[in-house]
Amino acid sequence: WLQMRADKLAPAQSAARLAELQSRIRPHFLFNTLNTALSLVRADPVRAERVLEDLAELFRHALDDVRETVTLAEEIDLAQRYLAIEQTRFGTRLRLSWQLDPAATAARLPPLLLQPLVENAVRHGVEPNADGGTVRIHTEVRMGMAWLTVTNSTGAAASTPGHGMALQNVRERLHLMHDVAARFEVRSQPQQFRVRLGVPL
Amino acid sequence: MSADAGGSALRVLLVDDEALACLRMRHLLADCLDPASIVVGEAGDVASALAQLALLTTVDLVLLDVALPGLDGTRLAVELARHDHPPAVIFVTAHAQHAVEAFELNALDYLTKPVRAERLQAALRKVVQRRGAGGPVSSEPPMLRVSDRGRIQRVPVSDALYFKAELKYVTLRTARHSHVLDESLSDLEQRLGPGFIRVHRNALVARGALRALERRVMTAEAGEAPAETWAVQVAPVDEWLVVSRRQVAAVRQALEALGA
Repeated sequence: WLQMRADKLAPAQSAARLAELQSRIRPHFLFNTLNTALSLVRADPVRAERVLEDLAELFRHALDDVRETVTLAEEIDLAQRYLAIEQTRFGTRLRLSWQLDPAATAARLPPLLLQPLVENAVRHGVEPNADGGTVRIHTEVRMGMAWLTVTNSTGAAASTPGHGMALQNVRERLHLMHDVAARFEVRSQPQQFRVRLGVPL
Repeated sequence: MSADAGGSALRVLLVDDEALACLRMRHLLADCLDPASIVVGEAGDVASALAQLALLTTVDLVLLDVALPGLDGTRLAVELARHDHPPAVIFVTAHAQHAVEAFELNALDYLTKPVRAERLQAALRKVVQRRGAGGPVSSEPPMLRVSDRGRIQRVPVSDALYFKAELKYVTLRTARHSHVLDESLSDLEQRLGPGFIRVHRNALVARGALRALERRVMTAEAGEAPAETWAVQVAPVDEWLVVSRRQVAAVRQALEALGA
């Protein structure tokens, strides 16, 4: 049975890796970020440097990180870098709220699991709305599990396609790592969109 | 007032929801001397781009992002294509996949972000060529000279909402200020051309600034008693100007032409 499971996992794993690679390096994110940095080179060189440093860090993890698992703390750090770039792009249109529980930081996750979730939140909750939106990242420990919740407000614009693929990919990778012990819930409400995942500590 | 060297510069409207993307484009446009250009407006979505286009008398080029909040940039291109003398449209986007659609919409060019200076220059040259081939020409001096307590200042014609003859002088109203001009209303009317409409013996209004026509109780001339009269509302300052009986039909027609 174990052999059978391993056989089944291998192709699923490589397919998931490919999909995950495509979902986390959206070409337009790279180009928009470079454009942002170029705008800042003259007006605010220090901020331009910061944007490029954040971008380099993101791509180091996306392209050059071969580890199977990382900690929630590392994932949060990377999401913060990603959101710092988007904050520079969108200014006051992107409103961020972090509520982080230090007790949850040691939880183990597949690498770059959180980044596609926050990217989706910005893409669907902030970009389509002229007044922007709110992205909330919340972690907590409950019933021996670390819970991570990403919520975005949804404005007038309907959700565009693309949400499903990234979420499916996150769900698969989470279950590949933690099997049935992992929890993954998506809740779409009229005013907000929420993804919550739980992993054993 | 005299003709200005900037009269041949391309008049550009920037449409992008990211302030930094607009800033970058301003830098690139300022660096490009041949052809020279001036940014006459900036908009973050399709609705505000249309509002600005209605206010600006001449726009040669719209540099248009595709991914905008609300309606996307291609919708603005569709809308512009219906105009009599549409400005040239050049798409500027991080997404290469919109290119085909852009050409179907008769966009003059398609630039991918980050835009290179040389690539932008080539695109601007296309606009100049097209303008030379009978496209919209901005031969009119785009500036007005105003005096403010002895200080001389230049105001773009495109900022003018209306001109009003007072007792001894003409005032120019822009969205933010009132200025004093030393040119007569009839000279202005002749020089500024069809972008402005005479609503009364004492007032000349930018067609794009016309919002509403209705009967109101107003004072037509200083010193007269208030009376009910036709009046026109001017945006974005939301001021009302008296319309003379003779001009009511022309104002109504102008509003209808604007799609009111």
